[in-house]
Amino acid sequence: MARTDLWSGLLLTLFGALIFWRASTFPSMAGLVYGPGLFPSIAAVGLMVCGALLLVSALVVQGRTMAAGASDRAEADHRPSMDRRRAGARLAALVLIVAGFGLALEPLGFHVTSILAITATARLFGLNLLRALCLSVPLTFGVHLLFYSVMHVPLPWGVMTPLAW
Amino acid sequence: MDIDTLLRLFSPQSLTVLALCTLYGTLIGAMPGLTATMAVALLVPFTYFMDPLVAISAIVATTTTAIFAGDIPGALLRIPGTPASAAYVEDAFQLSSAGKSRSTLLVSLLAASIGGIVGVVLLALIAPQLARVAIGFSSYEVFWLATLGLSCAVMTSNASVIKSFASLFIGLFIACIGIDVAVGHPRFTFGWYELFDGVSFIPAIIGLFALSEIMRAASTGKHQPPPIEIRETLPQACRQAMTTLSRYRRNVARSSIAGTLIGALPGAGADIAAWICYAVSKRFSRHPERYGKGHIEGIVDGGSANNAAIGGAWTPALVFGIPGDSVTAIAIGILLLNGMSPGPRIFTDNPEIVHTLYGAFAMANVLMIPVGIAVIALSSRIVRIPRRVLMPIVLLFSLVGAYAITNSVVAVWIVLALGILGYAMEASGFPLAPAILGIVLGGIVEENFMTSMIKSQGSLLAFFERPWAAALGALTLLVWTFLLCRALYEGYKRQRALSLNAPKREPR
Repeated sequence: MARTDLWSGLLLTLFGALIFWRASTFPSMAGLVYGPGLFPSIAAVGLMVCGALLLVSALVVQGRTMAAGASDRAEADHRPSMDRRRAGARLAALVLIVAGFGLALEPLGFHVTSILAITATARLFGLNLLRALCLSVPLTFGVHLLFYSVMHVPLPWGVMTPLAW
Repeated sequence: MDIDTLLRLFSPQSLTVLALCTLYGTLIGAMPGLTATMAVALLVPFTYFMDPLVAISAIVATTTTAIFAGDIPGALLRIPGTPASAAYVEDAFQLSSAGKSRSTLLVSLLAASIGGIVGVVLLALIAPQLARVAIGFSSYEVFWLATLGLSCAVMTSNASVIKSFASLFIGLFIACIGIDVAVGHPRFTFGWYELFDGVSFIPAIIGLFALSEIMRAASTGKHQPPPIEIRETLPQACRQAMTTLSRYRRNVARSSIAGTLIGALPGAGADIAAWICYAVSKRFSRHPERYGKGHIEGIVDGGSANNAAIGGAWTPALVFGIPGDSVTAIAIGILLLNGMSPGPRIFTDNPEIVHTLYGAFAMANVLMIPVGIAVIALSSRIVRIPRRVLMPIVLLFSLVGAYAITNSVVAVWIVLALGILGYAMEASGFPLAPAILGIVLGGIVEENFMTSMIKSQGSLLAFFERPWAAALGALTLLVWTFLLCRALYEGYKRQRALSLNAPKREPR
């Protein structure tokens, strides 16, 4: 855990500093020392303090364990590195699918995009292509019925606009 | 309650709507990522075609059941269906993993039903009395109330104090995004107009809870935990649930009453009621160390508190027209659309509305039991759906649900960004709950702080000058002192553990 604490502490401190710097550029209110920058600054200082505390305690822990001769890496993750790499790749694929959904939703339309995204997700979770399609096509039309036809959510049609009803 | 109201409540039209909305609320609440607020928001177009009194019943029935049904995906998938179930999701999931999902959910259902009924009885009894106190609340009191809510979120979390605070500050930062309340300066929007209103809450919740869960499922891959087994028949589970409830009947009573009172405070809804009652329950329990590891007691408290709070939330809505939570905010909108303005006069001008509301609450809480049992019986089917089929479905509902709230692709980006954040936070041991409370209450805290500062012309002492403000402020400072002591104790414990371990390892 000390290793992740080290990194998250570092990230939090840097992120807090970034917010603090941005917040200091906000204008203040007439007649008051407080302005729009106050609350972001409080959050930023909080993040920096928490980050620094995490960083210091992680460094202390790491220092002690190093002195004791035990490697922290070994206790952090027992899984072989091959598995961890695969997990990372699957995560990245999922993020790409969601990002693709966001990018394609308006130009391609809801139907094409969600069939593609759901098929891809189902493949990612280990369904074969035929079954993935058997899932994604009815699901898309079910969601269309529920959200577009029943609840009147204006789902975009995109390339399917000529077929819109 | 007069004969007219009773006849109207038991009319075929009203009964059909109540039954349909009970089912609808249960189904929407049971879908991870679809919240009670969203269920009501999606119901709004239909209420245009309804009699205003029926519309009120529809809203009440939907929220009541959706808040309970939020426990179902919480217990089975570790994704709270609504934020109100987040407080005890860990306990519910651990119990389900041990094969006790049915009795756990039945306890939730019955506790929710009792809590809901207690909530509406209290609403009918004490609304005027509470109103007299709260009518004097100014921005100072509201500021302390929201701050106290935030501090409680840190106090109730099971993670280290530093990480809980870090999570809270992340939430507060997210709440800062958008146009600021004081001078209207856009903050951290990077020129995106869609962000001027701030990060929409529902996409944020869907990202933090639903997408991060799908990401966790994707990253575990074939190492996924075995699906939850059900080792109880329905009658067995019923008996077990009844025993549990009668053992913890004092908890039900305490949390139903406390939940109603918390819900009645403006800005504090079902989720905060559940958090606070869970924390109180842990404090007074004989086994506080079991909380968060699959202990039913916290579920009894949280489950009755969040449903009781729904009734409570109507108190400020009815008396002042100030919504107690996001659901009543929508409901007030519907009342206004129908030409009725909530406020002290509604009790004299439109008493039938108030009476219908009470009646609808009572009936929804009773109807919820058979519908809930049916859904719990079927929930084993939900569990048997393999992850590779379930996760794509949850993903599509999450994305479309987020889109439906804002009608803009920005919702998808919010889901993605907060999904990654939620996954990273969980993976490195940061609790999610303080961040969510930060997002919900950040705006309220800031708005009331700024208003108070403008009123007092920059004097901080004004925050303690009014009696209620002083009491709430002192309570908040007490919680902070306690948290500081706990953080110091945690640090001391870690130091000791290290110095005890170090000599053992040295010979190597």
